[in-house]
Amino acid sequence: MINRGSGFSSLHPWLCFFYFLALLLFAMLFKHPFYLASLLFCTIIFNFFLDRGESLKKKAKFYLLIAAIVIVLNPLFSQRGATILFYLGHRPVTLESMIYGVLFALILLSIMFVFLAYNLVISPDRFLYLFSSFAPRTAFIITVTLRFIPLLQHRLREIISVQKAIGGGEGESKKQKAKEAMEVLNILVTWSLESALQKAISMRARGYGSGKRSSAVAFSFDKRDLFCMSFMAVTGGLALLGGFFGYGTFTVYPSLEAKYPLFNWHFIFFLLFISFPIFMESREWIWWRFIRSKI
Amino acid sequence: MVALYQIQDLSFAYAGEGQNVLQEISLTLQRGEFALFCGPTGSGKTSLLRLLKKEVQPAGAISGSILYEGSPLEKLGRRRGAEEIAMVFQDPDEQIVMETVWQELTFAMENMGYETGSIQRRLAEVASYFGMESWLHKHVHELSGGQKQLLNLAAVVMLRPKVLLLDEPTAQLDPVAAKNFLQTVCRINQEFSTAVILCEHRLEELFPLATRVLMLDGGRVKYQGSPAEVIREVWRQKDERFLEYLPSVSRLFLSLNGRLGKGPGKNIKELPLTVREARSWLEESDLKLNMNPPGKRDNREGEKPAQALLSCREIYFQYDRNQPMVLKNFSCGVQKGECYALLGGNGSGKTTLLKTIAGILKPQRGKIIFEGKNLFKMRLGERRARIGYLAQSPSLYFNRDTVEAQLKDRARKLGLGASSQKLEETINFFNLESVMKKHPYDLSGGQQQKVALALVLMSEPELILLDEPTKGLDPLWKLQLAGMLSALQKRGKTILMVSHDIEFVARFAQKCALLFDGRAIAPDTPHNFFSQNYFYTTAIHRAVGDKFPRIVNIEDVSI
Repeated sequence: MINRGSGFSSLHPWLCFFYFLALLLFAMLFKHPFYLASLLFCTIIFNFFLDRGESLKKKAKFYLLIAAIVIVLNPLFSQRGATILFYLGHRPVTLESMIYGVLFALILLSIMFVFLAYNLVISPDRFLYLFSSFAPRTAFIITVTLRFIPLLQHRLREIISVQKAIGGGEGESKKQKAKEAMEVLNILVTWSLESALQKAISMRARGYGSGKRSSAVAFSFDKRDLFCMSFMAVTGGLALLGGFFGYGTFTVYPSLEAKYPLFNWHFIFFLLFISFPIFMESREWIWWRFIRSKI
Repeated sequence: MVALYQIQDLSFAYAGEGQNVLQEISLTLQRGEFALFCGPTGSGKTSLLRLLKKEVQPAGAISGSILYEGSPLEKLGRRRGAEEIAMVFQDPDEQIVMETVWQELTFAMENMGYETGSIQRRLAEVASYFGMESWLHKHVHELSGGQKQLLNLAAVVMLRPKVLLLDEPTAQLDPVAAKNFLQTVCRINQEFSTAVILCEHRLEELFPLATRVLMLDGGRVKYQGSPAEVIREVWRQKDERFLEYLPSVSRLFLSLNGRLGKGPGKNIKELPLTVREARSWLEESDLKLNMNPPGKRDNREGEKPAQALLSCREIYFQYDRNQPMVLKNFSCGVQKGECYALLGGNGSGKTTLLKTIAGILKPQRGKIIFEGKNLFKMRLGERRARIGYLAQSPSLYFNRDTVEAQLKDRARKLGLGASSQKLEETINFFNLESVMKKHPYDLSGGQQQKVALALVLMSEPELILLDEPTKGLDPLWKLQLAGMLSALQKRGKTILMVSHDIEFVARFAQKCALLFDGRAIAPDTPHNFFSQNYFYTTAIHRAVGDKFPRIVNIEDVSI
């Protein structure tokens, strides 16, 4: 759980949701290396503002591994491109396919980091709110399922620890051990079915299914949301519009080519849009760090 | 005025079973009453409670009638049924539906289709009434058991019910959390005149709160009336099945005939239900309570210490680097053949300690010596064979369709063969013949525990670790458990249990200590331990301890 404070994550959930949607769109639309690099940079900083990079640090190793694999494999498998650097056996390795691998890795990393931030900002209850307005049943089922996951994990740990302590069957074959693992799952499933039944009774006891459900949440759309929305609409809209005219795009094959020089009005709007949450979060950070400390 | 519930000749049999679990029950409950249903496991009290709410009625054949506010319960509208009759179940975890506290609170009102504004208002009301503001936005899995059960209560109170049905709500809680929960129930009963119907085994604190007690046995109402009436009647009939349910101070009073001192006529009529009432009775009297000669248990007190079986030396344990130490400099020694009990509230590290000794968790620092050998250097197989661990929920042990298959599988794994003598012995010792063909999940909590204990004991461990063995057991089962434990001790087993059941430990352990702040505090015999404690001690000692500091249990008093 992150501390929402008054930063970006405290905005109206719909605003946050569309912001993340736009980030994903931009990651796929603007393949210019500088655009991608700045996007990646911003998402990393954003993650650090949200939870001091806790979840990012946990996942970073895995994500970097995937990125590395993409960088290595792309030039090996793709022989497109005009500039041949060297031959690996009979396969030509091109500069373009190497660059493409790097760009693709950047895109992947940005998308994964955007999702990390998304998960922190759009918590399950906010998700429920977003979707209950047009798919109430689905949203409800998703929430209940989400609650089951930590419960199942906890139970599995308990079962395994008990089975470990009770011992027996030390000299068993691999096949027997596999069978035992199935038995552990069997306990888990039986137990979960029991508790699902109890949960269903508890739901019915509180009138679930007795009529149309309403929602307790009311996120109000306040003046600050309106202001932020206008800012995001102008910068994001212009960035998107520019994208259709070829700003920020980058062709790799057959040879590297950017349609426009890097420093133009479009890049500035793009930067303004993607760094918007960082503005908001750092404003809060500065408030606590400098202004409050003087009082 | 129309009664809240009017029950006439109610009988009930579960679907597919011929035998009635409830027989011709007639009962009238008024508004605002605090009724207590009790009785041994299988007496039908939970079935009766569930029949009182349409949505949770078990499937089966009902005869007789249940009137709710003058009209038949089965005709009660769905909406009214859900709103006016609220129910809280035994397991705190299983009944929570949503992810966060506030979502759970609003769940019921959302189901009813209330508008956002009024949900918010009641949420604010209920959260402040229950003092839940600080954990309103927490995830449910971050809460303690006691908090979860309070949340379950608050979640049904959101609908402003007229009657609260509670099915053993404190069975899974530690004493402090249980008291807190019951006090909140009592507050709701007194401040809003919400009727309460409660099934429970731990009655010591409940008798003074109740307006009516109903004791069920074998599906029939055995005793009914005000708490004092029921207690006197059970006492008069010397009913073995219910004596254990009575508050211990009342039992003490009745066993002394309410005497104030020597000479006839000096009796008082008022039956004490609470420690306060018992103390004022004793203060008026010049009664001398004599100690019974020390029983079998205390013979050991004078003996020179037997050989140490297990000794824990300076154990430190934490789950995560960023989390506090659970065990800090924990040391204790368990002698061969004794029953050692560690007391402590939830979260005091009791389970962690047992898991460490069982070899499931590895401490950061410290040594455990088992019969002169370092436990962590012992072979895994040897450690498992010599130390048996029984976890809190017995259902963790069951993965077969019948008890028989479960036991045979265990025998096979231990290399004993499916029809060995050991198996026979175990079945006989635990008296399991009658349940052999049943599914382990269909057994009662006490029976499940017995089967799990049988599984653990088949490898003939020397040391048995028990985690909260009395949790959710009715008083009769507790006596049975105590019998089993002492039989095991006679067979040379050593028992180390962790528990928060003060009364059980005071009666049946040979040594006890308090697990507090990661250490074992004041290890001593139960007698010395509880007679020197003031807050953390038995009800009897709290009542008589001022005048008779050595008396801890009702068995200590010679009559």
